[in-house]
Parts: sequence; structure tokens; C-alpha cells
Amino acid sequence: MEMQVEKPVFEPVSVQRKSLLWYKLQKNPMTLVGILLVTALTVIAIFAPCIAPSDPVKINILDRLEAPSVKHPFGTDEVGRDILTRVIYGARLSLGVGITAVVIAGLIGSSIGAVSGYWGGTVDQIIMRIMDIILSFPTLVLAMTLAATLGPNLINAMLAIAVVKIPVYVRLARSEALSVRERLYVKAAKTFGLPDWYIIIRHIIPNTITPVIIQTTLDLGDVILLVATLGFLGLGAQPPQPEWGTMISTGFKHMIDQWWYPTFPGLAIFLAVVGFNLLGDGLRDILDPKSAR
Amino acid sequence: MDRVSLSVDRGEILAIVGESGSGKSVTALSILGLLDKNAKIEQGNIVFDGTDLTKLSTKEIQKYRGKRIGMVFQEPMTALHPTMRIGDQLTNVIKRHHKLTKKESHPIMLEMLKDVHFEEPELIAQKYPHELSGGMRQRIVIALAMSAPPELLIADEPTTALDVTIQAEILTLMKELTQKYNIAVILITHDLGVVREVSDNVCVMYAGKILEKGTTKEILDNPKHPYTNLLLRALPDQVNPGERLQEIEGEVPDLKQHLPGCIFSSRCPLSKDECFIKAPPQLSLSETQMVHCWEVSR
Amino acid sequence: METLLQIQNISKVFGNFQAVNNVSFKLKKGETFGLVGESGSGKTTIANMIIGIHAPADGKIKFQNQSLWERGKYNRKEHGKMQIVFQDPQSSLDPRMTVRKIITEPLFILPSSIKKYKSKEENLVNLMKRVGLQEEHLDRNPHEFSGGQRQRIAIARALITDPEFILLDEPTSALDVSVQAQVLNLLKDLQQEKGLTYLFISHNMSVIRYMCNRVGVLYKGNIVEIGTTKDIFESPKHPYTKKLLSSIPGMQKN
Repeated sequence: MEMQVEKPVFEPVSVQRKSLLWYKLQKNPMTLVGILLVTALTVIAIFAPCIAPSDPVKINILDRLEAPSVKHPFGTDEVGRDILTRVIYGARLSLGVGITAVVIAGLIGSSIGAVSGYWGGTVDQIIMRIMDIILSFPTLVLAMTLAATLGPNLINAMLAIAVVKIPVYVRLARSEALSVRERLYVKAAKTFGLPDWYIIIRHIIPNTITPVIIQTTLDLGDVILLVATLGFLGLGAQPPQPEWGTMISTGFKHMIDQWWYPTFPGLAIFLAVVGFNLLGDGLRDILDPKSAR
Repeated sequence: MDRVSLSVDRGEILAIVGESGSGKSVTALSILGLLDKNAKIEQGNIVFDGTDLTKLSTKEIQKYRGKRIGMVFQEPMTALHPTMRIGDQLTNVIKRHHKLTKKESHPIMLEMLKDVHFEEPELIAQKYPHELSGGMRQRIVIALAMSAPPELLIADEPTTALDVTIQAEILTLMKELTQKYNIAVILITHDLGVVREVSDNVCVMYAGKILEKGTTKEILDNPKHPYTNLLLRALPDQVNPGERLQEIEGEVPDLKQHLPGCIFSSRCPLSKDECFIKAPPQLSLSETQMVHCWEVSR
Repeated sequence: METLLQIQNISKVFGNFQAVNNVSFKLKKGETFGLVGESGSGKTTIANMIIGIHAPADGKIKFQNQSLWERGKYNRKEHGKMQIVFQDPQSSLDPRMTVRKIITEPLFILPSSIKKYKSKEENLVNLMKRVGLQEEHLDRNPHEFSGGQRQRIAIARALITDPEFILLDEPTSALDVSVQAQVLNLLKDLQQEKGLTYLFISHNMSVIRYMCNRVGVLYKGNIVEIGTTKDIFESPKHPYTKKLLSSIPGMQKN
């Protein structure tokens, strides 16, 4: 058997961990870029009303389709709304909807996965087959179908995305739960006569949560893209909501003459997705070295 | 880990004994150059057959590993290829060490398997590691380590993961092979029973330092260092069921801290002021026994 | 003396593997009964059947004269009378919980009046001190402790419900000799103080000899010999017991 190294008790482990985290961050500068992008995006989303130069839905027909200038750095759209303002407010929608969808998917998915992995047997088999069915559809197609069925608006698009993302979390949490349920502290809890729900909430979920959190950051970029795609296809946010995908959709027909109209929302999507992907990858390397690629 | 010096002769088993965190595995690994870069050997040198191993590059040490220095670890599965037949694994190593063809190495391979007490070597050679028990696997690993044959064998807790009855077999086997091939063996263990069973000399380590060394008889029957003394009395087979076991208060100190005095002073029941301030002197008590302790010097 | 735990002809089969075969033994109140055997001898399976993880295929387990398994279901008259300390203190404590949460976990299932009384600060501090830990350790996480200290935490967790019986499953096998001595001494003291009954499972003959009043020797799922520690160690009858004893490394043959 393994002899564990006897560590002196009073060694401040947390301090060591902190410096280790910093060290790993320095070794991985792209994570810093990700953190910067995500922080900037978050700040913009929160302080949108203070930052934005004008009102996102204020129509000013005289200024329609103006090229970028000092007054309108990103130009204006076909009814004279300031595109910079709309892109800034768009961050609120994309982030808000994206985070909500991922949190819903993460919460529901990891709970189902934890239960499934802990119980095993028939329950597990049924749950996993349902997840296989969901996974067998291409994500976008399924999200489109669901959004169309529920009716095209932002809330329904969010729910559709959450449903599509659930199986990822179920699988992840289940595979972790399979190993956690073999730990002795779970066996101990059983011998105390503690009920299954208590063991799941107290032991299984807390010990499966780390990879789930990493996955949520990785998924955020993906989900923001999905929100935009659904918006672009007319299945998500509806005009005049300043949602990036919807903006590109209407700006698309002005592509040739008024390049700025679809370009700036597109750039915003690009930066947001890259930011979350870099952050997610970095977090995985730092928190979960065994799955680092 | 500082100022560790050891010596072991051919045909002899030296046991390095210590608790976890005592630095006994570090000593062995540094001999093999298996340590990563941040654990530099600061003082002292490792002389193997006249060559200072600390002065060699990693590549040069590679040459020593396997051919002149063999290694057996606690967990045999880590040293075996999981999807290769036992016979092939052994033949490969023999081929390389003796520069032979596959055909020529075959009889040597069978001979090796016999050496590690397999009655039917042909049968075993056809098997995969997962088909064998833990004890059998460890015997295969020993055969692999002995195939060169090396001049030095380092065995790091070779029987810790095994059952007692199997442990006894492996220990007998190791003793036998030491004689037969006239090799030097360094046995790293935490088990004083194992030490009594097989080793000729013992070196007691604590927190990266050698506290006492000598022949097995000297150390186990007439220990001088307070730590060795306490450790022996902490063994449940040394007292009667009614008596209390000797406890050693506290924990092994952090190896990273540099303590000026004796490394054991904080837990030693006999420690006086000087123990905390100045490093203890090295005292030779006989031709073979050596101890680092202020108390003994008084 | 009164019998606390009675194992009657229990068997367990996993697939084609007869893990435990017709094993019987009794634990009298206040004694330590040792179960010694090598890997695959079935000692862990027996432990699992006693604490309610696996149902025996055959036979009965009676605790305080009440059958523990009824038609594949585990039922106990009273929670917390039986506790367990596992071998591996690395995995037996949830890394996400503080020591306070860990040691009060067995109380969760008890009536709230007892729960409240037992989890009072004063009580917890006394318990921590009794097992050789300190008050300020209560709010730390398991990874801040050494193996020996973690085993003390596991013992505190077992003691909090005032059990009659503790199953010790290789409690010191993962520990260093000097730490093992501390834990064994603690277990002996606690037994004397609280009149505890232990079932001590181990592969280490020296530890068994030191700790136990009576010993059962397990071999491939069968008890091949059972007797007082003195008899087993001084005049073993079964060849396997003899082999086991002669295998102990460095045993001074006196």
C-alpha cells in the first residue's frame, strides 16, 4: 500500500496553492488574454448605460447608415441607431442569455449526472440513453427545432440552448460520480445510515463540481455563438433588440455598401467567443491537470 | 536532503530505513538520476565503482541505469508492459544487455525465470502480466532488474504491496540472488521486520538525514540514537499486549526548513539546548556503527 | 459475558467467486476480536456485510440480539451504535468538508435533540482533545492533516454517536510505525474508558497480537482457525496459521 507523506500540520497549503496558480498563469499567457477579454466584456455589459454614447433603440432617421465617424465610431444602422451603443448593449444580452443558459444546463445536467452515476443500474441506463438521443442530433439543428417549436423569442432560444447543452454536463458529472461513489467517505456515509439524497448533495455533487465549472466556461463561448446564430436565423432575439446575431442578420443586406453594419457586431461575437474559449482552456489546465491536452 | 553518505559492498544488502518523509526514496532516486531538476544534490557526491554519478549528464546516467544499476519498485505493474508476454519482455532486455539475438537470449530468459523460482518457466513466459498475481509480478520485475546482471540493485519497498506470506518468499529470493550474482543491494523500507530478516547493514534516516548506521545486529539490538530506540519500541511485536507502545510525539519536520541543530531535536525526549543550536557530531562507536547525536557524545 | 455481535454461517458469492464461505464467530461485549487474513481472504467482504454494504447470500448477522439483514434489507434498531474506521485516511474523509462537518456527519440521522446536544461546541472540543487533536483543527480541511491525524479525525467521527461497537478495518496499515503506535494506544485507551467492543481486521500479525483478545484466521473465505490470541500465536493448529506466523519478517522467535 501507499505510504503517504506525513505533512507537517501547520504548513499553510493555501499560500502554496496561490503561488502555484500564479505560476501556471504566467506560463500560459493566452489565459491572461482570455481573462482580459472576458473581464472587459463583463464590465461593458454591467456598465452599458454609463458607457454607451446614446440609446440603443432611439431612432434617428436623418442619420441613417452613416459611416464610422467621431460622433458614431461604429457608424449607424438603417434607422439611424448608433451601432456602438447597440453592440455595447448587445453584450448584456449575449452574456446574460449565455450565462443563464449555461447555468441552467450545468445545474440540471450535473444533478442528473450525479444521480445517474451514483445510483447506476436501470435509472442510469435510461438517463444515459435519453442523453445519447439528444447528443445524436447536431446541436444547432436541435436548438433551431426547439426554438422554432417554442416560438421565436430570446427566452425560448435560451431554454432551447440549455436543453441542447444538458447532455454534456450529464456525461461529465456522471463519469466523475462513478469514481466519487467508490471513495471511502461515501461508504462511511452509507454506514451512518444517511439517505441517498443526502449523500448525493453532500458528497457526490461537491466532489464532481470542478470539471463542471471548467466545462461551463468552455461552453460559454459556444453558447454565445449559438445565441447569435439563432438570432441571425430569426429564431432568437427579435428586432429591435440589440442582439449581435440579429444585428448581423439585418445588417447582412447592407454588407457591400455599409460594411460597418454587420462587421462590428461580428467582431464582438468573435472576441467574446475567443475570450471564453481561452479562459476555459486555461482554467482546465490550471484546475484539472489530468485532462490537460 | 543533505550530507548523505552511504556505502554498500558486493554480496551485501544495505537497508535504508525510515518513516515516510524521511528522504529514503529520494536518496535512492538520486543515485539513479531520476530526480527532477529542482531537487538538486547540493552537497556530497554519489560514487559508484569509482565514478561520481553526480558529475554525469542525464544521458550518461542512462547507461548505468538498467545495465549496471537495476531497480525494483513497490508497484510491479508500473515496471511491466501490460500487453507484452513475460517472455518477450525479458528477452528484449537480455538481448539489449548482452547484445544477443532473440534466439540466443531465449535459454537465458528461461534460466532467469528459474532463478526467480518459477517451476515452469516456459509456461510463465507465455503469460501476460495481468494473468499473474502480485507476488509473481514482483518476481518478474526482479528477474528484469537482474537480467544484466547489474552490480547494484535498488529495491524501493519491494514487498510493501504484497501479502506477508508472499513477502517472505520475495525476501528469501532477494537474499539468495544477492549471493548468487554477488551484487550490492540497497533495500529501502519502512519495515524493521524486513530489515531484521534480510539486511546486513542498516542506515536509519530521518527527515533527509542519516541518524545512525551500522550492522543490522548493532542497530536492532543495540541502538544508540534516541530515534532508533523509540522506533523499535513503537513496534507492536516488541511489547506484550498489556504494555503501552512507545509513541514518538509530533511529526516529521518540513524538509524545506533549515534547522541549525539536530533534525530530531523537536521530537526527542532527551534533547537539551545544544541539540537545537548545533548540528550533532558524528561519532564512531565501532568499526561499523556510526551515530549523529549529542546525547551519545555526552 | 454478553454477546454483542454474532455472525452465523454467513456466505457471499460474487459471480463464480466464493468470497465468504460459511463463516461464524461471536464478539463478546468489551473484547477485541481480530480477523486476520491476506488479500482475497474475504475479510473486507465480511466487514461490508456487517456494516450494511453487501447483503449476505446466506446466514445471519445479529447485533444486540437483533438480526441486521432481513430479506436483503439492512435494518438497525438504533443508529450510531455501530461505527467503522477505514484503512485509508486519505479517502475516508471528504476533502470538501471541514473537520467539524466531517465528525458531526453521523449525527444527521439521529433525533434532533441528541443531534443538538452532541454538536455543541463544548462537546466537539472535548472529543477533539480526547483523540489528540486541538480545538482550532475543527475548521480546517482534511488535506491540511497528516495521515495519523486524519485517522484521529476518523476515530472522532466514529465516537461521536457513542457506539457500542467499532469495526476497525486495517486502521493503521497506511501509517508509519511511530504514528501507528499512537493510534493503537489511543484505540486501547478508548476501549478501556468507554467499554467499546472492537472487530479488528488486519493482515499484520504483530498488530493483531498486540490488540486482540481472540483471533479468527481467514483463508480463502473460510475461517480456518479461531481461538485466543495466546493459543493462535503459541500453538497454532492449522497449517495456514503456521505459515502465516512463520512469514512475519524479523519475528524474534522466542
